[in-house]
Amino acid sequence: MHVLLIEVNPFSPPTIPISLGYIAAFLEKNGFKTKIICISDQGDYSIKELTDIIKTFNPQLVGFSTYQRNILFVLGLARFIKGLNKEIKIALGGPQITFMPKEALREMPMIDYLCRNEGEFTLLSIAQAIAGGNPFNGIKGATYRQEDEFIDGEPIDGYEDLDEYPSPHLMGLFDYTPVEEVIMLASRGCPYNCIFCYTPQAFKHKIRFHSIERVIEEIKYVVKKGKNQFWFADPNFSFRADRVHQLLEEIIRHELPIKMWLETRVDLVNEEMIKKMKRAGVHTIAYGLESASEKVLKTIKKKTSLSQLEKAISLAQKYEVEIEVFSLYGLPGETLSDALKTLEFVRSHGIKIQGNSNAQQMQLYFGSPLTQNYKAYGIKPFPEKRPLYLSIGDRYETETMSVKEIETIRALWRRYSLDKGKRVVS
Amino acid sequence: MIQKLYLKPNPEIPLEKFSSLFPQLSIFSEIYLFIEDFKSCFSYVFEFAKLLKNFLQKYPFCKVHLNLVHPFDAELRPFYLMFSELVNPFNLEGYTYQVTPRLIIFPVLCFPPFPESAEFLGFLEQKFMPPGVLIREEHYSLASEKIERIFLASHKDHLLSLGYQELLSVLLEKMREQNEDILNPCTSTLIIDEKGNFFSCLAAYQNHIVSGNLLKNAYERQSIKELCPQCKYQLISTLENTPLVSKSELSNLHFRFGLSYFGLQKIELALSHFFKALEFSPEEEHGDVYLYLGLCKANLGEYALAIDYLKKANIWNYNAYFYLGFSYFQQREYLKAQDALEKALSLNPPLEDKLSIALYLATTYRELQRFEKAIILLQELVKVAPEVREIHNLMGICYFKEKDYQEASECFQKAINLAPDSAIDYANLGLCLKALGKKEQAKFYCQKALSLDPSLDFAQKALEELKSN
Repeated sequence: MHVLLIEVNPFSPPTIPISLGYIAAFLEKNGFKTKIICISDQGDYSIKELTDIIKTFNPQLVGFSTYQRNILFVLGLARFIKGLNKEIKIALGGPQITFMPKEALREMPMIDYLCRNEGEFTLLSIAQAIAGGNPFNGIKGATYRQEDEFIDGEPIDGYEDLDEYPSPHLMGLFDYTPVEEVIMLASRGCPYNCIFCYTPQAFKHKIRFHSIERVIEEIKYVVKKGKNQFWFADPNFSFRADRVHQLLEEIIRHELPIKMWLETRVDLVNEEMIKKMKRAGVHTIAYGLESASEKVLKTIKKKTSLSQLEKAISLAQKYEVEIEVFSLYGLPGETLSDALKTLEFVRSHGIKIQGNSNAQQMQLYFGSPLTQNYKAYGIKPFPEKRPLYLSIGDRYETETMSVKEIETIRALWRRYSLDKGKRVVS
Repeated sequence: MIQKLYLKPNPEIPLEKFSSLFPQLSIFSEIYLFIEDFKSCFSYVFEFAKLLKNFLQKYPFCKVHLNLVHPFDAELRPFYLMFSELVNPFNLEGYTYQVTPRLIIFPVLCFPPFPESAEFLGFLEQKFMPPGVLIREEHYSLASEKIERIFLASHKDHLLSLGYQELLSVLLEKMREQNEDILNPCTSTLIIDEKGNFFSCLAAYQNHIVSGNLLKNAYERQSIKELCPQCKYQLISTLENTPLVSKSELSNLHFRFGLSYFGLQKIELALSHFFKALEFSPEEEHGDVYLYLGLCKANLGEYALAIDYLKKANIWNYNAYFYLGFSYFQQREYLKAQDALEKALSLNPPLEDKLSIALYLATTYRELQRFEKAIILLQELVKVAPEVREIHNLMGICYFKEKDYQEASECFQKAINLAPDSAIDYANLGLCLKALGKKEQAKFYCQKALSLDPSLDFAQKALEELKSN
């Protein structure tokens, strides 16, 4: 049986579809034939080519990575695929889906499954059900229709030890040609409690790891394939200091000629670590700043302080590692003057406002503690009708910031931006 | 797949002909319509846009940027209002959740008068995306104060002006991003002229290399890859004296092109770009360019010039010393070669480069009759690269010259083990064995050498001597 996996990223250049890669690797190991296609801001395919792929690869199941920003494109593609062959089953997974209300299926007639748990096991369960001729029965980890009802399948957990998942890199599932930077994953999940974030909820506040040996093996493989720029997608790269030191030492010991981008928290770095990061080839560290107001940081349960942030920034600068900071506006309890403080903080610390360092309005995604309890945090969604498959997103103002004030701060960030506010990572 | 479609609309061509191409458009694509007379052509262009709208409605994941390029005319406001009505459903379609609408109109006005055009430009900006302008160079500074998207009338044909300048933007972006793939800035393109002729890229259009015709439903892609280097070079040269590109960008661009061609061993092409880089770079940056000019000249066998450029570069990394030593070696100035190659080796080059530097140095020692020094160096080399036949061969020659025939024969035997078809090593082994008095074996190896390469005179001579004795 054939499974087609599609990544649609209409607002970004081509990237490595790491999540779909893991799923494809797992399905392949379980006897399914897979194919991944990525649609970036380059378009990459024509209608004719997509039609040819569907007809020649002939999938029985198509899976999509789904985000708030791409869901309309995903639904359009799903409708197109069903139009070519209505027997093809379509599953949506990704951050938009884990906590989407199941009633949303009513507004998405072209969708058959919503994947709620770990993608590898959930999609395998769906694929096995389809292959077994009983596509809507006993599926684990997904929501699906049974006549007029929506059934939540039994929850399913992923592996504790991430090495048990086959590596999409080592299985040669990725084409590295169109990308400059290769995405890697050394861990999954986040144990913190930032109220605007979906990740800790989706991963039950747990963090799981790959072994250092596996990460090194993957890096070596990619280097052999001619790429030496790596982008680690771990939400907290340095969560465990011992692992980070070990990984960096191995990179240095093997003289791997690589450059790395990574993201971590300001309370998870120190001088020795940053010094070693520099030696191993880390060119940029991205920190989650969110806000430069202690009051706001407390409200959003970031549990970092400005003094920690300043220290982490100056350490990185000391060792000439580029810094990016993720910041947000429109946060609960934030006033315009708080938001201005954040902009001032970034500017006054010599951080280039470009790419990831362009601030964004906070988004209310399905599943975040804030979305679940937005009224208590003074969030006022606009009084408008919204399809059930979309969360509030940025369609709100707050008790402390009006729409106009949010517009003002957005315009100010754009004014000081070196690239007109173009942010690659959302 | 077509990512960029350039069209010169002609109302005599049935519109369905164009719509038959839409399924070949990339999911996110750009269309440029070059309209000479907007008013008389309006209904045709508007119908074209309607067909596009129908296509996008059928495929709700596709997105098109429609660029309307036409002469400025302030009276076009009612026509543009009709376009606005046409695209409105797409602007509202995703409500505010969709980041961008899917049918986006970009007006590009040719030769608008300043400041008289300001009001009309303002109107367009309000209704669509900020309009672009195509202007003559003398108006550039005036326009650049107010307008972001400016094209210069660099060519008589507006299609070439826009197309090449967009290509230049891609090149400059790749240069800034240090993208290694600077030689391939072109997206998949189709150009259709007013007669319906197909062209597969700007260079093909400029050189009228037709790939087919829309009216005849014929398309045969012509391979014109050989035009690519010339096309990029001309593109940069044509725009080099315009405000679109600064001197430092020009020098960087040419340098990057030079490096890419040098990496592909297309040395003549690399040279043409390095000379341009030299022309546009400030004197303090000439060093790097001279270095590569030196490397190119050495690759072309113009050793005297290579030496001159390398000295002018005055950048003494191992590579520069190696090419200097190599050039002196080729000029038979062995003492100078020895000096440069020894310096190259002392700068700890990576292993793969170290091997060739050391081999040249050992050969230089041999030429200078310093066999002992050569042997010491080769003994070091053989520890790290025992699989390289040339090391054993050279070491054998040096031992032979030192009259250590036993060691020499062992070296040639190892060389033969690594390259069983190497006639010269059989011949050398034959000579060693002859010197060691092992006549029968010596005969065998000389005969073996001659069977592989009958032109080896010294093997023939040795064989005759062995036979006569």
